[in-house]
This record gives sequence, structure tokens and C-alpha cells, in this order.
Amino acid sequence: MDRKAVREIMKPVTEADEVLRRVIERVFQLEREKLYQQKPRVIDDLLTIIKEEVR
Amino acid sequence: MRLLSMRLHNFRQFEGSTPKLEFAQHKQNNVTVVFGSNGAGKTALLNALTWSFFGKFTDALALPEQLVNRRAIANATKGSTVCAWVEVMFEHTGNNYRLKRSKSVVRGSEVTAGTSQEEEVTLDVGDPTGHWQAVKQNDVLDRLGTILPSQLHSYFFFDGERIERLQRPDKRAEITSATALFTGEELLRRASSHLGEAAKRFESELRILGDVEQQKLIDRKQTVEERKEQLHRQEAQNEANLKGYTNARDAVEAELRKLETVKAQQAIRDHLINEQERLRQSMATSRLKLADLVSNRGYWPFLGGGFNRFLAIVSGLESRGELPTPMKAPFVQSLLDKGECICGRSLVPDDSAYQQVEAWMHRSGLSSIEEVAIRMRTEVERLQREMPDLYADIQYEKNHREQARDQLSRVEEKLALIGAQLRGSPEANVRELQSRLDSLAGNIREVQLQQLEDRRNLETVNGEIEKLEDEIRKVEAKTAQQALAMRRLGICREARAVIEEVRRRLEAHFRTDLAARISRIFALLSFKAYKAVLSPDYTLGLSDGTGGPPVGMSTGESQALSLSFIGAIIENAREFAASREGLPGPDSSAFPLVMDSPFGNLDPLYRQQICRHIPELADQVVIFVNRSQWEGDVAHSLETRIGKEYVLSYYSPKPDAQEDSILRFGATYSLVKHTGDDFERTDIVEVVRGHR
Repeated sequence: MDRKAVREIMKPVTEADEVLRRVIERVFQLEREKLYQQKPRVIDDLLTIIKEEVR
Repeated sequence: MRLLSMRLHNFRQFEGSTPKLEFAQHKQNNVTVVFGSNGAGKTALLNALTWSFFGKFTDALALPEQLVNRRAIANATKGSTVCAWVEVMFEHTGNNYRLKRSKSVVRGSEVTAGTSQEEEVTLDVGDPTGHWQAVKQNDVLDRLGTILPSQLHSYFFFDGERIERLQRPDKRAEITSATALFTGEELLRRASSHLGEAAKRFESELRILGDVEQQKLIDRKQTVEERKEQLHRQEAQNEANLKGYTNARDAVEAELRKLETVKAQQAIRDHLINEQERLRQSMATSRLKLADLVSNRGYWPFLGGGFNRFLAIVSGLESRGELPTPMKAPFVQSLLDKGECICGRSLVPDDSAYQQVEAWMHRSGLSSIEEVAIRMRTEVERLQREMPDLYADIQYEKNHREQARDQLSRVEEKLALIGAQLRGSPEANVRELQSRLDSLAGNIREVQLQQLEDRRNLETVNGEIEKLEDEIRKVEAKTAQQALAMRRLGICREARAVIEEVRRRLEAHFRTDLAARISRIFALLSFKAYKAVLSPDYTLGLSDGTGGPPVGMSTGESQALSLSFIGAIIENAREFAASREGLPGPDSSAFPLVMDSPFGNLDPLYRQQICRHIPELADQVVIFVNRSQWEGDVAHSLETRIGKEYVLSYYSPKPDAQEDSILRFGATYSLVKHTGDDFERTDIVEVVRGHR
């Protein structure tokens, strides 16, 4: 997948406003850390991310 | 992830510790070849890797429960523990790792019987500066999972003779899930699903906050405030009424003063009224003075015990000569600094005279206590002195109040008498004026009582308003929380929508992109003009380009297609890592491809094509082959790409076993040899390359 294609795929994220983009990037990071788990428990962490970003 | 080396200990047919099997690293010589006859341990080596990383075995490994070398068990004494382990060194995103998985058995009464113990897995990580540290036991599997997810193990560690199984319908779900995991689709799916659950939590938070009664409270406060306004209006009215009644009373009294017949009585009454007012003031003053005495000095009588204890402590200090302090610390220090006592004796540190003078420092250290004690004793003595005055003052004010009350009572009696005399006056206008005075006095009393009641009501209303304002503030805080929860819910939903859109775009692009890559790689591996077709569930098929149904595949085609699929996935990951732009996906751009007997089912043409391209498919290729699989086209195609090679020398317990060997760079390496006992074993021997 070349850079142009990746940019096109990620456009909805890169064009999102700052708070939304930060939330999504942190959600990606969180999910990436738990990706190896079959049933990761991430909801509380997700709520924390959103609460921290939207005060 | 790049494999660096592997070592085995008592693992399957590898007795004791093997030498380190190092994997080729060079970009142009990225192929590692391990030669071995059938049964020599090629599949065991592949499974040593899958077991160490994932605790899993391939379908090809017979009796996977028998991990510990049988001869090592046989040599052990009964009841002792025999351990098998695999140690793999690898590199991932700049860090080096040492992975070790081990399993022990306790030697039973029979040679092969033994009680298995728990597997143990450890992982150490070394950063680029060479500093090593152990990964916490609880985090080992997590860390390994992020380096190479276990669902993907069949992609990178596979049995070549069974590679086409990756295309079997029963493997489809696994392939779909593993591919989705690898491309980031799974991460996006999970992120979207988890954000959906998070949104539900925010919704329920909103429901809890939703039952606010702010408007009701505001309405109630408004009603109470109206009542307060009404009381204020009433207050003003009372004031006006009181003023009116008082003026009217003053006017009547002025008229009475003018009447010759009663002016003397009125003069007396005026005097009595003044006296009445003075006495009332005097009683009020006494009441205030008493209150002042009690609030300011009322605690004195309770301090007697405390005073006595304090004075006893101070006396104790005095009797010990600690009060007053005989000497001040700065003075003692100045003597020590000067090195001379007031008696003229020289003061040298550690000398007994010096120590004696220095000891005064500790006693003089009490100077701050002295200051406080003196101040407090003065105060205590003053309080003790003034204690009788307190009782006298209280008694005086009580007497004064009683006297004023008696006098007031007499004044009121006299006033009542004058009133009665005027009420009974023979003159009609006097009687009328007195009657008006009585009526006005009644009115004034009534207004004053009303004022009292209104003040009480006003206090209640003010308290109620304060309480309501407090409740409203709480509700406002709740409303602010509600607004915040709504914003959070909004962001949660928006984030989910954006992620869904990214997922849709990735899926659409990835499938087309992957199909194109597979077709391109397949065209390199196969001589047929077929195109790869990838279904939404990642089922692979071949199309002849006519638009008809997928064409049937031979074993060779199926194997070539599977390799194309893996090659395409790796190629995609490589490009992806270089241009990720925040899109989730694999961390690493390097992947190993470890293949056991990859060319067994291929005819020469496929074998040649695949061998030519396989070093390009992955960054690192490890191939386990027997001599017949290697010789010919395979050797011709791969020889120049080999970076490391090894021979598995198998020692057979069978006396009539056919011995075999392979010639590499002018040296002969045993593939099969006789062993002197009942146990088979395999040695790993490195081929010394470049010697002919």
C-alpha cells in the first residue's frame, strides 16, 4: 500500500478536528496494545481517553 | 521481526544442548538452508520455533506431547527432573530479544513415562545500547503477541507439504481473521465495536443525569422570593403605620398638655414615659453587659485546675535552676568561639573546661521556654487576681437589672393610674383624648407584634432561599455534567463513524491491492495466464479471465497461489510500514518465512519458478529440505542466495540403516549414521561454506 493510498484511507482521520483526531489516535494505540488478546477489556480505558480529551 | 539464532536442549531428537543455529541476515544472502533426511528433525526444528513463540505445533508433528528427548529421560535417575528448552534470539524494531520456553518431566519408573510439569516461558529484551532486562512474567505473552500475533503463525512458520491447506474451506475463517489482524482491519473493527460500547455507557450516564429538576427549583425559588418581596412591602407598611400611630399619639398628648385641667397630669405622664424609656434602656444595657461578661470571662471559673498544674510545672523548672535561664546561648557560644572562659581559662575543644562551658548551651537552650513561661505566669496570676472581680461584676449587673425592673414596674403602675384617671375624667374631651390614646397604643403594640412576626417570617424565607439556591447550584453542576456527557457521547459517536469510514476505505483498497499483488506474484511463480481472485472472506481462487467461475487448481497451482498470498501480505506490510501515516497495522517491515519441505509436491517447472522468487518474498527465508528436494533446480536457483546452512546428522539405532551423506563445498556431511545404542539422536552441524 503506497503513501498516497494510505493518505486517502486516513483522510477522515487527518481531516477531523483536533480533539477527535487525538481521541482516534489514542484509541488506535490502545487497541494496538491489546490486539494480541482475544477478548480485550478496553472499555474503561476508552472512556478515560474520551473523558481526558473532552473536559 | 528478524530471527537471529536458535538453540535447543533435549528437544525431541536433539539430545543435550545443540550448537547455536544462526539464521542468514544479509539482504542478498537471506536464505538459511537446513538439510536433513526424513525423520531427522526438520519438522521438529520448525515446531521448535512455533512452540517457543506460540506454544503451538504444526499438524505435521507426531506425538507433540513427547517434547523431552527420550534418551535424556532414560539417562536420568528415577524421580529426577529432565528439562527440554528452546532458546530463540530475534530482533524487532531495533531491540534484541531472547525468548526461552522450557518444559520439564519427572523421570518415572518406566523409561518413557514421566510426569509433565508446567511450561515456562521467559523473554529478555536488549535495547540498542546493549542493556538487557527481563520482561515481566505476566507481560511475556502480551509482548510476544504484539511482535507476531499467534493467529498469524501459520503464515510465517509453515509446512511446505501442507501449504495448500491454507486454502482449505475449514481454514477460511482463520485466514480471514489472521489477515484482518495483520492488515489493521481487525483493529479498526474492534475500535469501532468498543467505541459503540463506550457510547452506550455515556448514554446511560446521561439517563442518570437526565432527571434534573432545575426548572422546578427555580419556580419554587421565584415563589419564595415573591413572598420575601411581600414581607419587605409589609415591613415598609408597618414602619409607615408605626410612624403614623406615633405621630397621632404625640398629637393627642400635645393636646392634653394644652388642657388646663389635665396638663399637670400630662406633664407627670411625659416624665414617667421618659423614665419608662430610660429604665428599659438601662435593663437592655445590663442584659448586654451580662452577656458580654459571660462570653468573655465565663470560662475563667473552669481554669482553676489548669492554672494549678501550670504553676506546678513552672515551680519545678525553677527548683531545678532552669528558670530563669542563668545564661543566654549566644553568650555561651561567644565564649566557645573566643576560646576563653570568663574566668580567663582557655577553652580548647575536647578539653574538660570546654565541655563544661559547652554544657551550658543545653541549659541556655531553654530561653524560649523561659520567655513563654514568664509571660503565661503573669497572665495566670492576673486571672487568679481578677477572678473575684468577675463574680462581683456579674452580681452588680444582676442587681442593677432587678432594680430597673422594680422601678419600671412602679412607673408603669403610675402611668396606668394616670390613664385611669383621665379615662374617668368628667370632661368629655379629656375622656375622648385618652380613649384615642388607648386606641393608638393598642395599634402601636399590634404593629410592633406584626413587625416581630414579619421579621421571623423574613428569616425563614431567607433560609429557604439560601437552601433553594444551594440545590439549584447542585443541579446546575449536574446540568454541566450532562452537557459534558453529551459532548463526550458526541465525540464517541463521531470517532466511531470516522473509524468505520477508514475501515470501509481500507477494506475496499486492501482487497483490490492484495488481489493485484497476488496476481502479480502468481504470474512470476506460474506459467499459466491465470489471475488471482480474492473473495470478501479472503478465499483465494484462480480465474482464466473470461469472467466465468474460478478454475480448478492443481496441487502445484494451489501451493504457488498460497505462496503468492503470503508474499503479497508481506510485501504489503513492508510498504505499509514505510508509509503508515497513523493507520494501524503491523509494527515491523521485516518478516521471516520458515518453510519445512516447501517443494515436495511441485513439478520441476513450478519448483524452479518458486525457488527463483522465494528469496524476494520475505526478508528472511529459512528452508528445511532433504537432499532430493534440494538437488537440481532448487539448488541451482537458491545456491547464490544462501547465507547460512546446516546439516542434521541423524544417528539411527537401526543396525541395518542405510547411511547417507551430502557433499557441500568439498566436505562430506553425514545425513544418516548408526548409533551405538537404542536411542535415535540428531546433531546440528554447520556447513563451512566456501571450501571446495
